Amino acid sequence: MGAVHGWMDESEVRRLAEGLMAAAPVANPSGYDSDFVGFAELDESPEVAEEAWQGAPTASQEVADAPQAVAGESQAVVPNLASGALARASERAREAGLLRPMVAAAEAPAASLTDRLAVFCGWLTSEFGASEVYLVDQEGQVAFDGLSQSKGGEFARKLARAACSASREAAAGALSAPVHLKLGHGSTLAVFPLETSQGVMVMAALVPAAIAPAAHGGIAAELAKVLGDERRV
Amino acid sequence: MIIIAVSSQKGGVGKTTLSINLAHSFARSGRRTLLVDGDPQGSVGLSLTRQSRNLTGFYDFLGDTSLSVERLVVPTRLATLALVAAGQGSSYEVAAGGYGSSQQRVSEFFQRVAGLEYEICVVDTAAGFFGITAEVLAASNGVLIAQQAEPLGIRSVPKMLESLTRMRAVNPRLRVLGVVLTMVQANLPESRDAAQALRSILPEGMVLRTVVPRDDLFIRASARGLPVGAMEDGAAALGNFERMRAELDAKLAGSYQEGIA
Repeated sequence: MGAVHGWMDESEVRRLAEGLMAAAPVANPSGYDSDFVGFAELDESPEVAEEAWQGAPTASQEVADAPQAVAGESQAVVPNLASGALARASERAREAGLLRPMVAAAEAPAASLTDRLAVFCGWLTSEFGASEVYLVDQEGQVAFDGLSQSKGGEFARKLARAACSASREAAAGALSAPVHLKLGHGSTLAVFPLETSQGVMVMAALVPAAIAPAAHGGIAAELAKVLGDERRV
Repeated sequence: MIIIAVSSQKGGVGKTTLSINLAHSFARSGRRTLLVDGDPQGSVGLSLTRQSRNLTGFYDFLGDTSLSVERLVVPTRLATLALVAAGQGSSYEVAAGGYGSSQQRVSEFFQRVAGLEYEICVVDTAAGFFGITAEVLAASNGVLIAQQAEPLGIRSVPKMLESLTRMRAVNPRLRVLGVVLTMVQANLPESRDAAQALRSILPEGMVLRTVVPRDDLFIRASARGLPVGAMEDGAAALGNFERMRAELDAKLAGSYQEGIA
């Protein structure tokens, strides 16, 4: 037994093991904590909407105006990722040299759709504090799934797919209405459609606060750049 | 449906043997059980079927959205036991389906299996806690760790616990059902000592009372494509796995009460 005990930090091993054997804390079966109060309120005043969007310089402006600042900015943009899932996606994108201020799709190095969407999600994190992101196209095919496996995550997926169906069935040119659900203090589930020339994509994202409708167009534009959709920019 | 992943930090510790015989035991108890080969090496299929190399399976499903789960299920002579082979698409792991896309497909796989009204799904995973194994653990209810009762094998325990702790952050509902000591050699002091050391260090109840001994019966059973319980001289081994299954049933019953499973 000495041969085993001599090299192992037994107290650390026991601590880890006891943590694993304890039931993991789960807020409540619905996936929402006790602060869930229902639908979030949006401040749709023009000033707030304008600030929400104009405060976010586009990547192409940064690249054109300050190359050195872009290099530093790319580090500052690295988000405080609350979600392990999005952290892994961003790490993959970072390792691939993709997680930097958005550039036009034509200038970006060739990358898989998933890696490009990971960049888009990293941008969402830096601009809106998104911690989990889910994207589904109008056919109901999942383009990116960074949601957790909790019941809350499953609910968000269902909501996004329902919004997809609603957009398909809506009258031509109409989109499903955005939905913001306040999940707790500093946590809102935002589900809204994004128009691209390839059709409507629905995004579900966990954000600190509701995203004003005026900002949706800009988000759609950034997504279009990632998808290489120059016609929509 | 309860999804139990059988995992380990190192390879070659007896996960496949454990998966096959545990699934067999669950099925013998009357529960509809599906054994899934989540290891690209296809060890489960190699152990139980002659045609495993030709079977469409789990990794094909991950890479092909047109495949149905029904097409993948292979029945066995035991009516309550079926299996899904690893499949031909094991190169999927290397090609990398892209983060996000594989998790969705893994989740869909288990959702569809649940739709076929299986009560237990035992998944034999590849060694380590990354890649598709991590995706499987993210979707599982419980994980059983196979741990070789040898000094060198025991050295991987700290790393294994760290990996599981990270997995629990991704999937808080993942229940660590326990550590199963495998390849135990009762007549070898080093093996006995390694087993005893692990029991003394880990919390009570984490290491299952039932162990899997090193026995050439498992090799002979694999050569015949059978669980050990189906071998002519497999009664003792069958009893051993029945006891292990009873231990797990007790733990799972506790999970139900906690609302985890």
